[in-house]
Amino acid sequence: MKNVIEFDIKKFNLQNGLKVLTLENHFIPIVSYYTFYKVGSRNEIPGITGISHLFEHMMFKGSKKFKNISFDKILEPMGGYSNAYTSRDMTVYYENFPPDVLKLVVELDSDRMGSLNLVSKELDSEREVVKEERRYRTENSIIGKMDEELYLAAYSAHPYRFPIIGWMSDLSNINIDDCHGYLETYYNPANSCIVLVGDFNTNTALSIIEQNYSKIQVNPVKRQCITKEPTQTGGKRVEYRKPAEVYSFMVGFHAPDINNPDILALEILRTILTDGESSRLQKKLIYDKEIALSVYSDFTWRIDPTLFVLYVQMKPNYSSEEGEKLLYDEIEKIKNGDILDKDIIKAKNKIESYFFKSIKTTLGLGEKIGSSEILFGDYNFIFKVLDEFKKIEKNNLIKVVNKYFIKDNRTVVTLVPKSNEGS
Amino acid sequence: MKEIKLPEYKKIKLDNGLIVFLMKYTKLPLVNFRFLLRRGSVYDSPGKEGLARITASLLKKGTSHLNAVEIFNEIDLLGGEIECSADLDYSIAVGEFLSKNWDKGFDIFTDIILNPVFDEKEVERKKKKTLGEVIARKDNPGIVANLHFSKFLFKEHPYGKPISGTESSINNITRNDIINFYNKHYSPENSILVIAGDFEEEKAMNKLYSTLSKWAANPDKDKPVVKSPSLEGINILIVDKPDLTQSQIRFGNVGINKNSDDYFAVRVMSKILGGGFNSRLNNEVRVKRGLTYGITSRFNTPLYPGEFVISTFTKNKTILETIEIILGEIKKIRTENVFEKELEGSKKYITGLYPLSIETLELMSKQLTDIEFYGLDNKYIENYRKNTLSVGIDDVKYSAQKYLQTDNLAVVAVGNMKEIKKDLEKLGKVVCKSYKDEL
Repeated sequence: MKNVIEFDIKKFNLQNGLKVLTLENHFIPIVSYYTFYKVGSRNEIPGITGISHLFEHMMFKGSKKFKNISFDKILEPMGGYSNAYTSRDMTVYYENFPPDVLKLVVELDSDRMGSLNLVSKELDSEREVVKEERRYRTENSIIGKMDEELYLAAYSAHPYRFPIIGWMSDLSNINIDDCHGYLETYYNPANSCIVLVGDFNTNTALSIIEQNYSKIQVNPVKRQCITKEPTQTGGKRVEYRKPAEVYSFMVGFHAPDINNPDILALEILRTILTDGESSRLQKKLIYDKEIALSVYSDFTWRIDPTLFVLYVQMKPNYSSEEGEKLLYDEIEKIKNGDILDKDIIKAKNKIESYFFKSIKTTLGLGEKIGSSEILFGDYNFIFKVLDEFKKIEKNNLIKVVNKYFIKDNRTVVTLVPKSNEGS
Repeated sequence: MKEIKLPEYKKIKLDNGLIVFLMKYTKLPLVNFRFLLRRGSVYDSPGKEGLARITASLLKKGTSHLNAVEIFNEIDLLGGEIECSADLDYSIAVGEFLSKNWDKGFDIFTDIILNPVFDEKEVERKKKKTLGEVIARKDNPGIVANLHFSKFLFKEHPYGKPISGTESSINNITRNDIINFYNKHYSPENSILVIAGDFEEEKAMNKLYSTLSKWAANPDKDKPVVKSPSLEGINILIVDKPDLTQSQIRFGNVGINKNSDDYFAVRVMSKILGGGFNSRLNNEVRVKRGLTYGITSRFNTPLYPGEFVISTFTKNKTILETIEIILGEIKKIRTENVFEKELEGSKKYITGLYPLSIETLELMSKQLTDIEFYGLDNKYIENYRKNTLSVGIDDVKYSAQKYLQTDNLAVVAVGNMKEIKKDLEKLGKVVCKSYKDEL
């Protein structure tokens, strides 16, 4: 059996710099269509934090050819579905739809790339929607707020410190001129990439795409993210006080950017630490010591140096202190070489499974291809990397754990439950 | 329209009554197992809520061959996953493994179903963890709202019982209860098994005949007592959590079951009202007024009529405005015909995206167990889009009148009572609880 599935992905470059990636897959009559923009909260400045995400909402509010009508009002009655997300590095739009709707989707998507219709009144109602989103995801979500506090404390200079959703005051402040400026600075074909996966014919699709996108002018990105995060010079701690039933804490270590090969060993380490009931931290904190309810980690590969995050939710009546101590003990053991070959095989098998799970759907496959192209400049990277993981050995893991998992490089946010006063 | 159907599969009924589906699908090197037992939390005895779920989750915590640690070490080493849980009407185990390891994964999968030992230490460990989870979920306003809504709507009906239990019910469950639940209900006649993906069929058959076919038949004719609750007036429950700046709202009544003749009409009606981004509710509450980030309506369709629920959230001071808009939209869809264009668009939306419901192995496995479990027509998938397209304007109105209520319904709001109570009293009778109180 072959280890990595070969995909027949084709790449086309339009004259205006737009990249188009296609992968035919005819199992079900569905096409997944992605537009990736290489811009996210990484590109923001104080006063207008959250603009990348608010702007993402505005992209559904109509464009020149489809004025005063929302994207979904046109697409849904044709049998399609659309959504989008904003991360620190990217803004990503996608649609799932039956094959006969492809032409319409290309018209809709190219029109909003080339001539978005930004209207003040729409912005005013949408900023209220986003404020509700912020109340939902951050202000009334313990884990959401802890995550916000963690990035804010861990980064002192780099825009990764800003919450993707933005500060409430900035959401009130962003105006239509800010949106126009943002559009002109970042939204253009050369800063973007289109991915199609599913039931279509490549030549037909490409000709529709060329016809609709070629007329969009090249407009190079005018502003880059310059700030470099200085090296952290000592551990940081933040206390978050909030009514809660259980303690929890988050630990973040600064970790390298996507061009640093250490990210592979760190991903294996992440799997060894937290994935599966037999992982080091689940086994120790949840099973053996029975002091935690859940353990979770996040190691998102990013353009600039990222954060390796560990999260532990304690059992009622157990303090974070007890959890933190056990967590650091496990890390110290690994630093001293306590990793079994079995742990590494397990992690590599898990990573292989994750990969196949992530590409089960045309939407999942498109996401992999596009983010690989945007982040690594190579749509194939995400497939090739499976072989790279196989080369990682025990000494690589010990090296990275000693390099990054040190106190001076660490930020900790602890949730300290306080009683819920009032009625 | 291109026909939508599952890849070819075989259905076998073993002598002991176990139904088995084998479906080859080789697009990815994965194999999916799905085991469904026709017994779920509705079989929890009073005061022992959470029993079905705890029993299921203990399956993989030790068998007569392997202890809990050996089981999770082996599953993780194979890069696989096995999850066991219980829902209202059924208990379920789902496994997925890389093809290169599928046979080893399947051996563990059958072992945990056939030979669990419910080791005393593991039972205690699981009880303590579940208790912790039951307490910790109070920190999540959305989950608090869902749980209280089911209870408030269904009252003593088994669908009102929390599937994962309460603090006192978890404390009440003993190892004997778990063993009895397993012995009484886990039997081949009550079960359905699917193996789907890139596996060798002959090997699968051999494994079936050497293990599962020897599972002794064990008749269990138990049926739950199900009496639909009656609601009078607009019943409002406030679950007070003073630190919240936004209220979680759940709104609805008892709806339909999976086998209902009105299923497709209700599906289309619910899409028009609160499905997708282009629904009436999303348009009025989010798009036009910016009152929420999300609002949906949904009919949960289990074996017996389940809940119809509208879910949303808004800042405390706009809670009344939001609920009034919802009520207005329900009145409208009950009394006025929907527009032809709206109806056609909604049907196209449902049918256009329907192929996604068989896109992955686990979805295909789920379709097979659904058809068998709910006793659906074996052309259910092939006919789904045709049945959706046959829904007309009158069907939508009829189903709205029959299954949406404006006078007798349940509303749950989780939020700051001081800020929302006065507003909600304008709508109907309000009762209050603290989020700390038991369900």
